[in-house]
Order: sequence, then C-alpha cells, then structure tokens
Amino acid sequence: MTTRLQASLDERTETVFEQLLQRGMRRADRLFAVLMPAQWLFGVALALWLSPWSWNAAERSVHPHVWTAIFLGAAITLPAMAVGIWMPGRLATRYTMAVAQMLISALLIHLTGGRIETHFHVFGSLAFLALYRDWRVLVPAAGVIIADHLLRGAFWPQSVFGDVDVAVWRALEHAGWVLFETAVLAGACRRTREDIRLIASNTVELEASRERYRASVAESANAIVLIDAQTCQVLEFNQRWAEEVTSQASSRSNLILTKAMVGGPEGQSLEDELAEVVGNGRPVISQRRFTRLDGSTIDVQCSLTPTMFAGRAAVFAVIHDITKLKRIEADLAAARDMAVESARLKSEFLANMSHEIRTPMNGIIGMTGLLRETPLDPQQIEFVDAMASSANGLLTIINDILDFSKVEAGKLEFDSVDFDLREALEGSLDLFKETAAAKGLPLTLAIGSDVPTALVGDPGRLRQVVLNLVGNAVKFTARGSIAVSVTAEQTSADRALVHVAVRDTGIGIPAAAQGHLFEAFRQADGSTTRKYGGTGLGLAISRRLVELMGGTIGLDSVEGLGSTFWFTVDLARQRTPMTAAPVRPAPVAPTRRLHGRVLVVEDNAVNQKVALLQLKKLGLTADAVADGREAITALDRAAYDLVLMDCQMPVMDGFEATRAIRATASAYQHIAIVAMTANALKGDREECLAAGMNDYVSKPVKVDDVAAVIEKWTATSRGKATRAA
Amino acid sequence: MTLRAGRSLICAGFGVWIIVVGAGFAAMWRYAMTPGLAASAAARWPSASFAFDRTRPNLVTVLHPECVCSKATLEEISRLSAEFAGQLTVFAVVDASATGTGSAEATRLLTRVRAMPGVRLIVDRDGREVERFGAKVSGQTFLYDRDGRLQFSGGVTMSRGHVGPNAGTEAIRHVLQSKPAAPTAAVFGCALPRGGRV
Repeated sequence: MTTRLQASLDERTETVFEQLLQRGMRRADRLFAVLMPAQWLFGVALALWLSPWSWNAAERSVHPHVWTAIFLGAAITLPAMAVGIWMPGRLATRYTMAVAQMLISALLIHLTGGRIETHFHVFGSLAFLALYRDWRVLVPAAGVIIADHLLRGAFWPQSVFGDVDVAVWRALEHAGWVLFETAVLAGACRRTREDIRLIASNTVELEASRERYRASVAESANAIVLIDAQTCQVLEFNQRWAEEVTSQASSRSNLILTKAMVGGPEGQSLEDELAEVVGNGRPVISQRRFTRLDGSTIDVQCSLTPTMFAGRAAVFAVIHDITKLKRIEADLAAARDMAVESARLKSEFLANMSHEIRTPMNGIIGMTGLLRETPLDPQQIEFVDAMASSANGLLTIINDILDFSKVEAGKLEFDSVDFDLREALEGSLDLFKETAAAKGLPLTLAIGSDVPTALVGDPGRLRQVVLNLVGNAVKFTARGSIAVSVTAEQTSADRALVHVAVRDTGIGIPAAAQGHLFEAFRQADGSTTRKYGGTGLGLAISRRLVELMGGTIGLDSVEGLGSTFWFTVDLARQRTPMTAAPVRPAPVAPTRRLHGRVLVVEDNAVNQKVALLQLKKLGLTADAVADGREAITALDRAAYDLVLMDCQMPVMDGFEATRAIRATASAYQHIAIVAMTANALKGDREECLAAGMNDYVSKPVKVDDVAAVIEKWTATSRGKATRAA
Repeated sequence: MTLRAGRSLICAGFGVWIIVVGAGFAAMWRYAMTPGLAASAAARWPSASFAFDRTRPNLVTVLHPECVCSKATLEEISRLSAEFAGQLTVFAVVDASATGTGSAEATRLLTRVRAMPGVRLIVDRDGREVERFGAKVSGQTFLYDRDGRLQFSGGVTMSRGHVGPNAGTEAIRHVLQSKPAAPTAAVFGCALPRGGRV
C-alpha cells in the first residue's frame, strides 16, 4: 500500500517536474521569439549606421552589409520566430533557437567588422539558451560555433584568425572556451533541474498535504468553517457544517453569521469575540447553543483558532455537536439528584424506623423494668429477665444497624470535647463488670503511667469501640480473664497515639477467619451467630470508627487460647488539663426518691403509662397529656417543675409546643423541658435544643437516665427559684 | 499528419533553413574575402611626391574618404604606428579627387587621422599622389625603407572592413623587425577613382 502510494507520488512528482520544465521552456521560447526580431532589427540598424554605402571609385551603392543584415537576418530570424510562436516547448524549437542565436552572433560579428566586443554576444547567447534548463540545447549552439571556426579555419583562416598560416591549437583554443562555457552552463542546467525536481517534489507533497487536509476537513464528523474575523462571513465550510447549519446537503458560502445564530458569551458581539480570538492569537474552546437556519437549536462545543485567509484575519472554527452529550449529562444529573433524593429518603426512612421501633421498645423495656420491680415468683422473675435481655439485645441490633447506615452514608460525625480517658474506659468496663463477674471472669483495666489521660475527642465513640471489644470478650470467654491495657505508642506536646488492647482467654479465632473479621456482617463462622448471636456489624463499625479517629484496629488470636483485639486512636491532648472530672450523672438507685411535679407529653398510651409509672416510682407527681396543645393547656392550669416532651405527636409536636412555651410571657416560660423521643439519629438532640428544650433522653427511657436528668433540672430550677427569692 | 511525417517535415524544413542561411553566409563571406586589384606600386619612393623621411622607413596608406573599410585599415595603421613609434614615418593619403572631403563620413575620417599620433595626413585633392604610388584600392599600403626602396605593398585587413590580425600587418611588422616577410598581401576596400572600377 505504502509502495503503491509512493509510486503514485513519484509519478505525480515526475509529471509536475515536466510541467514546470515545460513552462520554463515555453517562457524561454517566447523570450527568444521576441529577442530574435529585436536582434534582427538591431543588425539592420547597425549595418545602416556602420556601413550604409559601398563605393566603387566615385559611385556609391547600398552597402552589401545592409542587404545582408536585412535578408540574411530575416532568413535566420523569421523561421526561429515562427517555431517560437507556434511550436513552443518542443525540442526542435529549442534547437532552432540555439542555431539561430549563434547565427545571429556570427552575423553581428561580421557586421561590426569582427570587433572583439561583439564576440561576447556568443557567450551572452549561450547564457540565454541556458534559460531552457536543457543542456541539450547548448550542443547545437556550441556545434555551430565550433563548426564555424573549424570550417573557416580550414578554408578561410584569415577570416577567423587573421592569418593564413594558423596553427590548429588556435582553433581548438577558440572552441575550448566555448566548450568551457557550455560545460559550465550545462552543469548549471543540471543543478537547476534538480532544484526544479525538488520544487516538484515539494509541490506534490504540498498537494498531498492539502488533499489530506481537505479530506480530513470534508470527511470530519465535526462541522468546520472558516469565518472572516471582521465581517463574520463564512469563507469556507465542509459538508458537516452545511448539514449542521441548514439541515440540508448544501449551504451558502456567503452566509453572514450573527450572535443570535452562534450564541456565545452574553454582552459581547460576535465581531468582538472573533477580534478577541484573533488578538489573543490562541485557540479558544467554548460551549454554546447554536441556532440553525431552520430555527432548531443544538448544543455545540466550539474551538476557535485564529488564522489568515487571503491576507485577511480569519477564525477557523471546529464545531462539535454535543447535544447528545448534554442530554446524557442532564440524565446523569437527574440520576444523581434521584440518588441524592434516595439517600435522603433512606435517611428519613431510617429515622422513621428508628422512631417507630424505639417507641414500642420503650413500652416493652419500660414495662419490663416496672414489672421486674413488682412482687414476682422466681419463675416469673426468670421470664421477665429473659424478656428484658431480649429487648436490650434487640435495641443493640437496632443501634448497630443505625450506626452502620450512618457509616456507610459517611454521615458519622465526631464530637471534639475534653474528656478523661481513664473515666471513659472505667465507665465502659463498669457496664460489663456484673456480667463478667457472673461468668467468673476478672475484668481488669491497666493504664500505663506514660499515657496522657486528659484528651480531646469523642469519648462516646471511643467508648463504643471499647464496649464492642469488651462485650465480645465477655461473650466469647467462658473462663479465664479479660484484661484491658492502655499504652501510649507515641506522644507529643499536642497529640497522643493511644493503644488499647482487650485480651481474653476465650475460644479464639481461626487464622482463616481473622482476615475478614472486620468486614460487615462477618463473624468467625456461621455457627457464631447461631451460638452467640450478634449482627456481625460491631467490628465493622469499630474499624470504621477507629479509622475515622486516625487509628488502626487489629487482632492477634490463637484458636482455643484466646484473642487480643487492639486499636489505636490519634487524639489531641488538652492544653489545660481538667482540674476536676466532668460531671457525670450518678447512677440512680431504684429506691431513690425525688420530689416535684412533672408533666409527661406523650401521644403513645403505653409509653404514657410507662413514664407515669417510672416517675411515680421515683416519688414524683406526674400528669400526662397526648400532644403539645394539651401540654400548654395543662401548664396554664397547674404548676409543674419539669416537662418530659415527646417530639413527634399529632396536633402539635414537641418542637412547636416548646417554641410556643418559650414564646409566652407566662410563668412557665422558662420551665425545664426535657425531650423524650425515639429519634435517635445524629442531629435530633441539636434540633431539640434549638427548639428551646433543655435536655434530651432517648427512648427506650431507662429509669436511671430519667431520674438523673430530672434531678439535674429540678435542682437547677430550685436553684434559680432560690436565687430569685 | 503522422508523428514521423511531422518530424520529417521539421527536419526537412530545418535542413532547407540551414542551407539558405549557409548560402547567405557564404555570399557574405565571399564578398568580404574578395580582394581588390593589386597596386602597380612604385619600386622606389616617387621623387615628385611629398617629402620622404630618410631617417627611417616610411609607411604610406591610401584611403577612399567614403569607404567604410578605411576604419579597419586605420585601426591597423594606428596599431603599427604605436608599436613602431619613432622607428616609422606614417603617411595617410586620402584620395579626395572624386568625392572631396565635405561629407560627414570624410570629415570623420580626416578627424580620425589627425588624431592619430605620428601619422601625417596627406589630402590628395587631384589624385596625383595616388597615381604616383600606383594605388588602385582603398587600404593599399606601401612600406619603403630608409633608402626609399619598396619593401611591402598590399592591404592590412583580413577582409573588407574586418579588424584583427592579418597577413599584411604581419608582413610589415616582420620587415620592420628585419625578418623575412611576404612582399605583398591582398587588399580589401573600395576602388579608388583612378584605380578603375572593380
């Protein structure tokens, strides 16, 4: 293919070369066709001037030189003129010109009486003949001269050399000079032909390049158009442009483009835009809405490149139809919006589910707790404990699923508060001490002396990880011990990389299962769930929490001997260590007695009953209403120390009721309002506080939590009242 | 017309052309190379003629005032005069017996001769000097030694009005250099009034 193409190019090069040569030869023929009569007339004029008369004694007559110049000059000139005019470009013509030119030289030399200066006409003529760029032309020219010298040298030597006794070398010398110039000119002709061949080659290459350009433009899938930068007139265009502009197979080349047609930046005319492109000298790529001649529109990406066309500033525009792309982009945007909406709906669903599940769970756990406090026989106590355990397990599962959803959605947020590491860990372990003791497992905590405990972070999330790991340890250890140790891997003035390890002597984990233990819904093996329960989300959540706190998590385990789960967290150190431990609601003993009157605002009858019973058990007087509006009415009728406010209720929800209470100028305007809601997602607490509530307890509500928060806020109220008094 | 026929025609035309032109050149050269009548030169310097310089050889060239060939002859004489300055006395005799010296061509000739250093102009108004020397054709040149004996008689151009090396000039040069030389050479020029028509 390449060879064939090259052969085609070579053939074309040869054709162009011949055309260029032929053009030059024809031009030279025309030149000689003019030069010949000029020389003829010159010869006649020369004869008339130099030798007008011939004298014979006292009689004169026209000198034979005049007749010679006229007639011999005509005999030489006219045939040469004729072939120059009617047979240009032919080899015979060139030969004729060469011979005629040399004969003219001979005639002129004779007419001037053999002046040496006239001999230069010979050399000038040879140079003129070199214009043919054909060394063959020089051969007959030189031949005529050499033949003239040889013949006359042989028969009339005195006419050439002025002497009858002439050595042969003089004829050769004369001929040698002519041959020398002929050789030089022949060499020049050859080099000139090489130059012409190079020009031909470049011309063919240029033609091929232009053809490639033309084909690429013509066949381009993009519309390509050349626009006059000043007049915005279409100078050249391809088929695609015609289709884009007119939706037809043809278009007008003199079309004047307008801003309304090609779109583009607002507030800038098309002329100004093109002038800016030309002025900057750099290509500009933009997207715009293009209006066709039939009024329909398409979206295009337009590349404008400054160029020149016939000496005028122009812009080369490549226009790519991106209508489909834009449509796809719009579809993608719609899909993205749908995905975002789906995520929002999912979050909303989770919130609703959380609320809907926690509401009955509150009833179950609350009632179970209250039932447990009533006089029961041992079997009934066993049944109630089983119910409580099941309810708490279900709650744990719900919490895990919610946490995992938040992790997956990337919506997990972390607090950054001052906390004491020791208290956080001890608090976590306290929750398992009773369980561990029941199994005969010592549960110990050892914190290295070099571990800074005054830290900044999210103690809740840290406790969540520790609770998960310790909970697992307790769950999977039948005998032996559980030890929690804390060391500092790296500390600086500002930060501490804390390493926490939970070592147990439990069943251990097979090596094959260790690799994917931190993946979601994974446990050591399928039987684990059946035997020990759990969702398999705990370690996955823990890993994500640890990673988000800048640490890593891992384990070392030998099946049958036990496991050590460890994690690190990168925490900031407090600039000013806490002088006292943060206030933590002290666990309230069931026998604790409080005083005061509490209004319970709860639409669910069961939960209403649970709350009233829990408050009664705490020694509080309590009333219950079903919505916010009834709450306001109740507050108007009686004095209360605190309001336990559900958030989602019919008629008037807790947020609106709180805002209404805070907005009144009544005595209860500043009453303590504690949200009691099944909304457990992040942000719910903030929303409650933003509505004007003082605190927040989430359902299922535990008696201790309620007692702590009531004690806190009734004490605050009394304090205020005392100060007010 | 076939290609071969066309070529044949071109070749034939070219041949005819060359023949015609060749004949023209041959005629031209024939005219140019045809010499005039030889002179009946006086073997000794004519005593009745103008003063002979006995101190050196005397060269006398006779010219027709209107003949264009005289330019070439004067060119050669000028060269000899310059080459043998101080060794040669040169006379240019212009035969004005028939045409006078009033024409532009004659005036240019006389002016030219007067401007030639070492050349003495003799305007022969009645043609007697020409007759004494026996010249018949313009351009005829005679060289006499210091004793008045004729050493050379003939023309000093190679052909009609053609400057350049020629047998006559070369012979004169040899005589003056005491070398063997041809005593005569063809003379090319217009017939003198007393020389007879050619």
